[in-house]
Amino acid sequence: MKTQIIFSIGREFGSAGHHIAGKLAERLGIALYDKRFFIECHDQIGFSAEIMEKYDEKARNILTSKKIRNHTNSIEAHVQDKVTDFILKRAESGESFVIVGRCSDEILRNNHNTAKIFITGHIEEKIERVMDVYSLSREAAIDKIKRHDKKRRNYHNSYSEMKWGDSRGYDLCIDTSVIGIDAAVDLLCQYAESFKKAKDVK
Amino acid sequence: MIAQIFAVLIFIAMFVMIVVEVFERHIVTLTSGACVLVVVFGLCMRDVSAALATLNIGSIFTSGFWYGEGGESSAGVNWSTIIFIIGMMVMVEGMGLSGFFKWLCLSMAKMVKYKTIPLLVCFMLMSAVLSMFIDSITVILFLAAVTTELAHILKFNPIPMIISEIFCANIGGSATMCGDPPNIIIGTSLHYSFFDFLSNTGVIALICFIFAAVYFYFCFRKELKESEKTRGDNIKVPEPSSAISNKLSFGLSVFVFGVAVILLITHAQTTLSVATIGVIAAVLTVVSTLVSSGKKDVVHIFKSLDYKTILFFIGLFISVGGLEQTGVLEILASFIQTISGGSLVMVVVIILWLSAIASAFVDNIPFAATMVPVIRALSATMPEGTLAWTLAMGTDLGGNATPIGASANVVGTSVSAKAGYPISWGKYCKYCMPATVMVLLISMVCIFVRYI
Repeated sequence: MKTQIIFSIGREFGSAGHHIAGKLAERLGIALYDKRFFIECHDQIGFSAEIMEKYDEKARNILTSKKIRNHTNSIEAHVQDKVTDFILKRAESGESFVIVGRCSDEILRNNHNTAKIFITGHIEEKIERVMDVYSLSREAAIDKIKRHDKKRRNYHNSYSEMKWGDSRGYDLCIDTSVIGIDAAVDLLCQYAESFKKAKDVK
Repeated sequence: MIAQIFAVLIFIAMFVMIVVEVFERHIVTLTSGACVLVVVFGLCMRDVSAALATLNIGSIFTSGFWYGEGGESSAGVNWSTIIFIIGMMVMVEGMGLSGFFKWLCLSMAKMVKYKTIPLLVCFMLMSAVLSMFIDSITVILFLAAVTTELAHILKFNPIPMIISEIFCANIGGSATMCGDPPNIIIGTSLHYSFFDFLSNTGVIALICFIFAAVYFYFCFRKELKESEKTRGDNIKVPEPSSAISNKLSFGLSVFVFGVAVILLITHAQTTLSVATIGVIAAVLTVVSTLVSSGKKDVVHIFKSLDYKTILFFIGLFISVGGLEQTGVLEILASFIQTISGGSLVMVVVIILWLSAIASAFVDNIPFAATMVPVIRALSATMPEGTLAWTLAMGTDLGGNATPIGASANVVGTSVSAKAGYPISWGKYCKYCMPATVMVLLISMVCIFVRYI
């Protein structure tokens, strides 16, 4: 039986975290679970594609939602619950995959085959990357980075005990401004190799 | 003056913390209650008697608390409400365990031959009637679950039905003293009987229900009728009997429910207090569960009780007691009297709409608990009953307007979302906001016609 490895990738906006996750999945020949995947596989999650598009990776709004016993009217929280169930089932099946965001670091905290990675970058490089990818002005790129990072932080921290981006919650934090995207992918592939070797020895 | 300022500040902080839900609401009210006891009564007032009056523990040991015309002391922690709610929780847990609710829902669905429009009307009616006696959370929990199950089998969208059920559960809750927590607080604090509620708010609730049923019929009939056309012939719906796991347990739980309903209806004649009825229902449930299912199920019942809600109530009553003992609520009452110019019509309008708007967005229980002493103060110059029924209708029906207005709304939308049918704010409010305004206007007209 092949050794299972799951990469949970948290990322700052503009740090190329998603790009690295895609390349890593391709190099390892394993599945990539990202936003597009969850929208396409909405039937397996249990919600429509529109609901997944609108509410996936969103924090519960404390002013428009309430909790009564184990119930809440927050659609964001229900989507998170179903996504959590999905991730746990996939992990329990023994499948290897790379998953981007979705509090997977917290969901898979007790799964010993999971490598929790956080991708970060220098602000200037992130601005340049966002300006380039989205064809934005410098000011618009800065706004976009701030907005997305705030949303990701709120989302992550509302469902997780460890704070978003806090190195204590991850196995490895990579600054893409220092080593570049390709080297980051190489590093993670080496990590996977070492991980498998260590598991095989055990 | 300083005690009043601290009592108000603590209460406002409690309200804000309940809304933002950073901590669980029972922790918020208990902390707030502790602050009232230490800061307001201890440090500011240095008055042990005010603290004892608010804790109100002595009232439990008086015979009037359990039996007779005396009733409970009206200030401080309302132990009647708390004991009654615990008793009802035990009874409802026992009923749920025996499969009573699922059996009832499936039997009703079978009775209307699984046709969606009659099913809509039938489930609305059942939701309203059950909520008159049982807390609406439990009613919606079972009804919405069966609705999604039937929707899956019969291929219809359950959202219209669940929205209608939620709305009618809140209307049904307004009809009786035990239907909704604000009514229990109003009834026990102001010494009204089950029948007082039934003959006053019950009549208004019936009229509101008829209008609401017609409204939802016209809103959803096309969508539901369409779904019947796409339904195939090979439909396998679970038999009602499949819901019953233990016939003896089922029979006994129906018996206990019947006894509780009879005791509630006749409690003005028997002079048994609601606390006593709660204890009787709980004891009967425990005994019948022991006989039919054994000790394990009794343990399960007590483990399933919502202790957090009980603690929430205790903390809340102490916090409101701080406002009461410092005279803040009397100031609020005289303020309402001043802005209304002493006109009963104006006071009714203010209480109804203020309580409805507040209940649409924040918990209606703290609001009702706060307003009861205000009504008591206003009743020096105005008929207490009119104000009590107005408050009950405002708090109970106002909660219908938004998905967070009442517990039943949260539970109903949650059950629907878990089954894959999320109900957004937009969708909920599109149907329920106009319906809420409609039933509030009906209630206002009814109160004007009958009492003014």
